[in-house]
Amino acid sequence: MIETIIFLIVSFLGIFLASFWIQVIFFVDNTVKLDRTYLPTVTLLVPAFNEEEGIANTLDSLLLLDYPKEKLTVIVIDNGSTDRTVDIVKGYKGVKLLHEPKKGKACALNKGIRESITELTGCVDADSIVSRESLRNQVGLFVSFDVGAVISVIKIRQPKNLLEKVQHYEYILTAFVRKLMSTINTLYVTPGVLTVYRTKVLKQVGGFDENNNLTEDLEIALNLRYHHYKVLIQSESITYTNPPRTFWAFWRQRVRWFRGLIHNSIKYRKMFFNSDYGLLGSFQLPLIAVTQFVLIISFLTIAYHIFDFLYTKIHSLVLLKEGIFNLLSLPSLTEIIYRLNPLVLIPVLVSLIMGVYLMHKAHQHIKESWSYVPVLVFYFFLLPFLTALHWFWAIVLELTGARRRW
Amino acid sequence: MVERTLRNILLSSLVIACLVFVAGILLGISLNDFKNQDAFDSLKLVDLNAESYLIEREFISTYNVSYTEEQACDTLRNRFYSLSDELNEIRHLLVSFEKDQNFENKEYDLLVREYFLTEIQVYLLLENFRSGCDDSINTLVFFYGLEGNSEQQGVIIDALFKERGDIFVITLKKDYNDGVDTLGAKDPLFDLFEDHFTIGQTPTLIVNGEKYEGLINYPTLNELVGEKI
Repeated sequence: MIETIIFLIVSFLGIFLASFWIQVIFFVDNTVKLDRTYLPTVTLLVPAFNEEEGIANTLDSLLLLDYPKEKLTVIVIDNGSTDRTVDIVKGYKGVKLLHEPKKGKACALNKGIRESITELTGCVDADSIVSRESLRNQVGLFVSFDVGAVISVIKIRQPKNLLEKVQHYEYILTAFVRKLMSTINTLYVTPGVLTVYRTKVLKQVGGFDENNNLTEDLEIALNLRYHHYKVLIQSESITYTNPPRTFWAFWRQRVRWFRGLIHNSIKYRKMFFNSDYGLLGSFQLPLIAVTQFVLIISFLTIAYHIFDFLYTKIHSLVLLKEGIFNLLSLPSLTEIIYRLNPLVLIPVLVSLIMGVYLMHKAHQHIKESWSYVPVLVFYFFLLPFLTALHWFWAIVLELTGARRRW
Repeated sequence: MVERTLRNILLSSLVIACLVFVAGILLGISLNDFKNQDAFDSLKLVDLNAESYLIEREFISTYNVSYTEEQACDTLRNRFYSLSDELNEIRHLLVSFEKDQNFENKEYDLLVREYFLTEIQVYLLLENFRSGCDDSINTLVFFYGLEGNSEQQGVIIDALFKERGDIFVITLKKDYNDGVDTLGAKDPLFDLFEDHFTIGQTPTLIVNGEKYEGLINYPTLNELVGEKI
């Protein structure tokens, strides 16, 4: 009974949200003006700590950007690398190298911000690649003075294994949802993979949080929103990132993200249920808390039932011994019909159809063709389960005061 | 303007989500009606077959025109196998039905009462048959509960039933009357039946009249039931 109620709450939330976003696609036209002739001076900051593997590719893509060279400055801030990162950077003539001894990505970025004298400042992770036209497209959205930051669409670079392919779908849908959030002005993330900020605003809000913040990019976004600046996404600005390739790397990344989200949500709790922040305060931010709570409760219930089911089945099989083969018969059609529960089945089917539709629109949005379709099964049925586990562990670590580290 | 549109969207999303759930509830009610009706029909068939058995027995004992005693017993035994299969099928349907019962379903409670009564009725007929024909149809009465190892025991009995085909199984929920509130779903006969066997725990099995408490694995149960006919 209790699991059915939880299941219904999850389905209800799923249908409500999917229906909300689908209607936003059709009924909200809040197109932000784009000025393609606006080409201000830009500094791109690349914080680096032992990035010898990928930094050359990142710098190559930055130097190939379709942007007036006299208006573009690229700065790498070395954060105490012990590998060949510094040597590699020194090989690039058009790149300025700074050193920040104080550990932490936020410290490195702040060093760069202090050096930045251009109108806009972009932050780029040292393992990312940007497309040629990305920066030009992003700066065109800074025509309005209340725009604090513009983010890009992030894609997974050449996904190979199952985990990367699942993330490939996740990033596509995330980009689309961010676009919709941007449309209704509730976007509150500025990822490290090429986000462009208004330099004056970055300095005004105090730069990145150096106080051991696990997700400094989320913190700065919330900080901008706290000061009533908009965060937008430019769908025509495509960037690429390398996702975690192993289960444990993925686990560490997600737990870090969620711990950062918990920490920063507490830090900016005044924005929750605050109508001064429009839909962001009254809908989007509270939704995070509600969905995560429901997700964790669902996970615990499902985990209990799976355990109970497996225990009963295994125990039965052990007791059956030679009688085991008598169980290998399929249920009759009548039995299947008897087991159907429309109250659960219909919401699940509807939310699944809506999910697939949103995924289809997401592919259209970033002009990405469908690939690795069988992986969708894992995306829809396994990833939420894993996400609940990540959340659960992140909460445990935050509650126990475990040390925050990357 | 955009704020107003968004407010409308939020509201309509809420309405859509509610509508989907109402659709689910309505379809669920219709499907439950279908299941109830279907199960009642199946039970009615068992009732008819039981009645037919009684008449057949009466007919044989009254006229005994061409049957030897052995032939008569064979005919009646086949009746029991048939009844046993039908009850087994209904039992599976009811278990499937019960697993997805989310909310109160009075018809289902009445259905279960009807089923248990039919089982006991057929069991009594079988006891009479056994004494009359000195027959070796194996009977297995399974008292189950929601806690403990009843589910595992059910799986074992199912497997044995499929393997042998010569067992007449009836299943009864221990303390059934205490667990239902639906008017008309309780039956004093269930308590009487339970008291007769002095059932203390679940699972408890009555194999050919002998009581065994606790979980019994497949080989042991197979041995207890005796040689296959």
